[in-house]
Amino acid sequence: MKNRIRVLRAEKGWSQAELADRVRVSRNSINSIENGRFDPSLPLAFRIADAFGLSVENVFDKTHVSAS
Amino acid sequence: MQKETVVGIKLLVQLVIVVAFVVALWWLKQQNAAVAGVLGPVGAILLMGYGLFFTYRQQRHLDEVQIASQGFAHTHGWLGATFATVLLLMLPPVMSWLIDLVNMQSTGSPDTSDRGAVRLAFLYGASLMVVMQVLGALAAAAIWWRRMGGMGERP
Repeated sequence: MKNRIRVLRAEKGWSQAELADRVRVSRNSINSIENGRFDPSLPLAFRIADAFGLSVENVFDKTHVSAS
Repeated sequence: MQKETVVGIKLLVQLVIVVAFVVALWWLKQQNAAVAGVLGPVGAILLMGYGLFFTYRQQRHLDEVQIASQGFAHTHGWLGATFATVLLLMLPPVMSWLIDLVNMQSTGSPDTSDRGAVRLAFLYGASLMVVMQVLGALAAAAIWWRRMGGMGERP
């Protein structure tokens, strides 16, 4: 699933590690999600969106959600 | 405490356990059959129990991506390695080397044992490992789906 995490991080000036600390996951996990390799669970998606002060739809692109 | 120090201590504990295991094997070999027959299984159970406890403790600190990663590694790596082990054991040079090793450890000579019996023991052991792992995977899957509220509405 595509997302805007990299752009939003750059706007905030946060590193992957800093965002990882804020949402309580590992830096590798943020990297996987940011690159679209792993689709986060709904709670984690909400935590990421909350960290940026945005809604989930503004962080994750629902047009790229796979059916499986 | 620094993160690196904690990791170092954890690795040191694992190293101590491995060394203790090897020393215990060496010590057990010098005991009589009755003592070895009791302490061997008890030691094995304690070691497996510690392994399960250690795995459980480690998994509590994992996030969902790491858990998914473990699931992938478990499904693909663990099962694949099991079959690779069985295939490896079927290779004559590996089988012969292991039989020699077992004979050497039990009798002090690579040729003073019934090779056929050892070969059969390997075959049974490998087969049992595969059967047990399949049964274990089936049981784990049943527990998982039960926890998830069953299989849903029937068609």
